[in-house]
Amino acid sequence: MSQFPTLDPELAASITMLPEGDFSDLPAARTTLNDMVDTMLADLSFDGVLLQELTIPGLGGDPDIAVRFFTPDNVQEPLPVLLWIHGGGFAVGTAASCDPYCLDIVRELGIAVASVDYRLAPETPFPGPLDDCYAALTHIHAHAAEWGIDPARIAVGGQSAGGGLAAGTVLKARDEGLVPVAFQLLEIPELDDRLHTVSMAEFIDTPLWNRPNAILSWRYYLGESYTGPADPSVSLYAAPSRATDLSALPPTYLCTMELDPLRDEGIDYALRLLQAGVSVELHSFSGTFHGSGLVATAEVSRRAAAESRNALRRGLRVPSPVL
Amino acid sequence: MQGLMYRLAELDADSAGMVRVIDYFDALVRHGADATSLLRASAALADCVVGIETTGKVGSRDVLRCDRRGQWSPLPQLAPTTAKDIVLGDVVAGRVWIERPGEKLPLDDMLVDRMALTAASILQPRRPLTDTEQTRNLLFPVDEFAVLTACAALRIEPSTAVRVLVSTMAGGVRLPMSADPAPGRSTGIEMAGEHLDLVLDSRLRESELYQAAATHSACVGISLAAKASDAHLLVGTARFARSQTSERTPVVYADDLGALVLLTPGPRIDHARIPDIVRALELSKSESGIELLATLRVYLRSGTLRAAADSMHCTTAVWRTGSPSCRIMSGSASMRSRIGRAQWP
Repeated sequence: MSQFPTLDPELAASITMLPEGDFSDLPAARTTLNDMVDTMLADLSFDGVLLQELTIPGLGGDPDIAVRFFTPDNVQEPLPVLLWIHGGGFAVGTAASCDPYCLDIVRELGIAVASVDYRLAPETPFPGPLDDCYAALTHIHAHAAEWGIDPARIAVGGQSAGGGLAAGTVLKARDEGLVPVAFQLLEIPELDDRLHTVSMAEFIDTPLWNRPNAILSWRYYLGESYTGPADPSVSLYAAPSRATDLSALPPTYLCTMELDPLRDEGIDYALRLLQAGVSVELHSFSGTFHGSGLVATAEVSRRAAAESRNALRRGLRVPSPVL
Repeated sequence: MQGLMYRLAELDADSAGMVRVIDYFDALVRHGADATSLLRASAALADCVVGIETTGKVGSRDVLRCDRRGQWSPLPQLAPTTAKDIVLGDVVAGRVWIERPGEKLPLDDMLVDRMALTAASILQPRRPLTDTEQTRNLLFPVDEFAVLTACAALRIEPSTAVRVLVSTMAGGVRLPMSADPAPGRSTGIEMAGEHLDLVLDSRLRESELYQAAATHSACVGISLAAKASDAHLLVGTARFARSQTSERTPVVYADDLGALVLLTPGPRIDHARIPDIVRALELSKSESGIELLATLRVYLRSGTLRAAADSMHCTTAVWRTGSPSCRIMSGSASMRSRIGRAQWP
C-alpha cells in the first residue's frame, strides 16, 4: 500500500491495526464487520437513553423494516429527529453498528434518532434499500405524534453508502412532496456510480475504501441489469450525482475526507447544491481517509464529529447549551 | 475506535503482534506526531490510561495523562503498571508509563518501550536540519527512527527504489548529470574525498553516466538497488564497486560484481538483493535453466571459450555413449551454440 505522506499521524498509526477486509468476499466481509461491531457494542452503556426496537411496514408489499429508535429518557415535548442510515457500501453493515453514534447524538443534542435497518445488496438491489429508507421517513412523518416527534424538524443523514441513500431519500421526498425534510447530513457520501472523478481514479489502494471497492459496491447495489458507468438507465435516487436539478433541497452539511475516492463526488455535489440555491456547509478534512472517523480519539476525528453535530444542531434548530 | 481497531489486548504476543506495535509507533514518527498525539494514540492502542512526564529546562516537571477515549487527566490515577525512561543521548529526559487496571498484558512492555523511543524522537531538541544533513542521516542513520524522519523530511517515500552512487574525480567536483536523478529533496554529500548521491533507480541513465565519468576522469561505483529506507545498508556496495573501477572501466555497477559483492565490508548483504544470485536461483527451477547453469560451470572451470566448447563436445560424446555421471555437464546443441555466441569479456 502507498504511504500517503499527508496522513494525520494518529490516523496513520491506526492503519497498521485495521483488519484486512475483502469487499469481494461479502460473507467474510460481513462476518469481520459484525465481529468487530460485537466487540464494540459489548460494553456500550445506554444510560439516559431509551432504545425501542420498532418495525414499520415496507413500501408496497415489501417486508417490514426494523428501526432502532433512540430518545432521551423522560422527555415530554415533541422532539426533532434524525433519520440515520448506516454505511457499508450498500452491502454490509447493520443499524446496530451505529448505536454508539446514535447514543452520542441523543445525549449531546437531546433529539431522537431513528436508525433504519434497510435491506442490503446484492440480495436486495436498488430500489429495495432506498425504498426501505424512504418508507421509514414517510412512516415517521405520518406517525409523528405517536412517536413523539416534531414533523417539521426531520433530518435525514447517513455515512458513506448511507450518505448516498440519505441524498437519494431526500431527492425522492422533494419529488413526492409528502414529507418536508428540514436538513440533510451527508457524511463522506457515496453518490456517483460513474466513478469519473480525479479522487476516484487516483485512490486505488487507500485504506477502508478505494476504487476497486467502489466498483464492486455499485455492481452489488445496481443489480444484474447494470451495465456499468455508461448505463443511461441508472436512477437519480440510486446515484444522486446523476440528478440534474438540485434545487429546492433542504439545507445541507456535507463532509469529505482528503484520501477518500468519494472526496470529489462529494465536493462536486455540494457545489452543485450551492449553485442550485441550497444552503450548504462543506467541510473537507485534511490528513483523513474514508471512515477515519472510526479512530474517534484522533484530534481530527473529534473536530469532524463536533463540526457535524454543530451543523445538525443548527439544521434542526436545537438550542445550543449555554456555556 | 473502540473495537473497530485491534487493540493491544487483542494482539497476540507473537512476532506478528510485535511488528504491528512497532509499525504503529513508526507511523506516528513518520507522520510527524507531537507529544499529545503520541499520548492519544498510545492510550487508544493500550486501551487504558497512559502518561508521560518530562523534565523542562529549569527542572520543572510536566505530566500529561490521557485515557483511551482521549480525555486528559482522567481519574482515578492508578500507579504505573509498566514504565520506561525516555533517554536522549545519555540523559534521562523523563519517562512514560501505562496504568493498566487488572492483569498486565504480554505486550505491555513492548508498548511502553516503543512509547519511550517515540517520545525521545519527538522530544529531541533540534534545529531544522538541512537537506544535506537529512541525506547524511538517511545514508548513515543512528537508528531506524532517523531513517523514517529523514525520509519524511526529504519527501521520499520509504519504498522508493533507489541506488547509492559513490564517485571520486579530480578536483572533487560533483559529476554533472542532465536530468536530476535525486529522489525527493536529497542532495549529494561529501565524505572523506568521496561524493555520495542518492539516485532514483528509474532515472539512472547508464550511457550518460559512462560519458560523464570518461569526460571528467571520474571513478563511479553504483550500489545494488534498495528501498530508500534500506539505502544505508548498501552504501558499502557502492564503495566496493567504486574500488573495482579502473581507467578502462571507470563505472562499475555492484550488480555486475555478482556474488563478489558479498565481500563488501560492513553489514551482511541479503542474498535476495544480488541479481546474479536471484537469477541463478530462478534458473535452477527449470530443466533448461539447470542446463544453462551447468554450461556456465563448464565455462568457468575451463577458463576460455574454446576450452569450454571442447569440454562440452567431449562430455556430450561421453553422455551419448551412456555415461550417466556426465549428464549434468552435458549441453544440448542449442546450448553449445548459445555459449558460442555469448560475448564473454
